[in-house]
Amino acid sequence: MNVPITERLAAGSEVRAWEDTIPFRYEYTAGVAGEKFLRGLRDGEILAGLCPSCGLTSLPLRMYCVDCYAEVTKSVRVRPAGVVRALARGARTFAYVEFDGVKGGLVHTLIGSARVGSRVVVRFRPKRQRVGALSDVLGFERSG
Amino acid sequence: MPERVAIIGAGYEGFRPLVSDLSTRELMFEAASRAYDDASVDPRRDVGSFICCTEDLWEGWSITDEMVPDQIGAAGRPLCTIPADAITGIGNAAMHVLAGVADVVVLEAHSKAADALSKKQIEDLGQEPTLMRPLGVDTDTLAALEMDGFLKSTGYKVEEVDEIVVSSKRRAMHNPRASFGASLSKDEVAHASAGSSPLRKFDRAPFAEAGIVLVLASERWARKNRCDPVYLDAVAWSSSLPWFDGGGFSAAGYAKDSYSKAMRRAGKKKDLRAFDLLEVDDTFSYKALQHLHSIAGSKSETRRVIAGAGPVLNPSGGALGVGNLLEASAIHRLLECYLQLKGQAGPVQVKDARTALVQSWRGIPTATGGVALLSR
Ligand SMILES: [Zn+2]
Repeated sequence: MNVPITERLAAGSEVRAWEDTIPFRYEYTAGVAGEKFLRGLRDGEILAGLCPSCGLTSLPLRMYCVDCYAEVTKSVRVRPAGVVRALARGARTFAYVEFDGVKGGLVHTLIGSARVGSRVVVRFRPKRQRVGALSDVLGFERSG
Repeated sequence: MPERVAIIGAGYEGFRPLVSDLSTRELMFEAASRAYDDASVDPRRDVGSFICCTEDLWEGWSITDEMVPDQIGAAGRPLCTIPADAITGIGNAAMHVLAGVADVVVLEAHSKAADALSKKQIEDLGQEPTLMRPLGVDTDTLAALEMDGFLKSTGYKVEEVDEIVVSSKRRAMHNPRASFGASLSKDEVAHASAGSSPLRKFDRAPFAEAGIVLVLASERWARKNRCDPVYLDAVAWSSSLPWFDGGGFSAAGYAKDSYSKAMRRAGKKKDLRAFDLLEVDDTFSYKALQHLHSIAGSKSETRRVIAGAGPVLNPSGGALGVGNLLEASAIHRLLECYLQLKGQAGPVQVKDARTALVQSWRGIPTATGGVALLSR
């Protein structure tokens, strides 16, 4: 009873492994709020949710309030200018940007240079190239 | 104080970057056999419920529940798997005991990380598919963003992060369960390569493999069977908003909330001086500082602990020294505290350790974690 393994492998040549891959494909439904947000990007707008119960404005746009759990059906256009809260510099530089009066924010590419605390604007692709996806945004660019 | 849950035994195997001679099931069998021996229980007779913490994507095998029972002695018995870090698992195990579902409950968690050849891809699948994944931001980049946001918003210096890395790696040199001990200078940490600045090479815990099993019992059962347990005084866990959804950088909401709830449940006033040692999540170096800051409540208290003028911080060497054990992260910290409180921690033993705190986190991109309080 309760005896651990008594015969252990003693030579590297006895070790065997089997390699396999798992082929998965998905189609993720954007959903009611998700679709509204992506259509907003196509129109060159950042849409945030506005909670009818507690008044919280938040990103990303969701169907429900993260604070009070009320249903959120209203969205508001966010002024596409915000503040850099964090930067990660590598082959590409990524920034996390928050917008005035909005809880939450967006992560995207930083175009040019900026520092934490810098004010930036959202730069969209030219209108004809937009498809209703996150790639409609080129990134954040320092304003002024 | 409410009835406590007793931890009456522990067993483990592995704790190496690669356990090449044992399959996942054999690793679990080995750890479980040792835990049952330590607890003097027969799993086929004494155990009323088994819980295993594991995530299918890390296993490379779906519906993992089906491959768990036999090797831990749970065939034909009540068993469930929880796809979460073992801090959630021990919470559920405690509920089974306290609710009278079972007098004896087994908690198992493991990491066979080296079996997963596509670790980066599995990690990236944790990201939200429409707003995050299309950016091509990997886990290190998200960590770099959080590290930057945390340091800038709190005013902690990167040198304080370096200090955590240096001391964890040094402590790990003495822990037989640690694979990544090293004697590094602050300079070596500071000047290590960075894939995504400010995150450097040593800021991230490398993966390791281990199987760990804890046997829990009701206080009544433990007394009746003359066990010499470590007590789980309280456990709490929660999910807060991640920083990129507005949860903020300066404090980890899940750590703060879980600590408050656990201390309330244990009937203790929030004060880290109540503990002899802390095992705090340091899957990333800056997270140790953030987690400690979240439960200490102030920078001065955080700095006091780091300076060694309080409970010993991560005497095991933490994840930075022992390795990232995936869903077994919390059960590893619980194991270290169990050994400490039993006086069995060997070269990393904290003298006269009577009380310990475990804080755990499920990793990027989550804001899920918990706190467990132990005593003897
Ligand atoms: Zn609301």
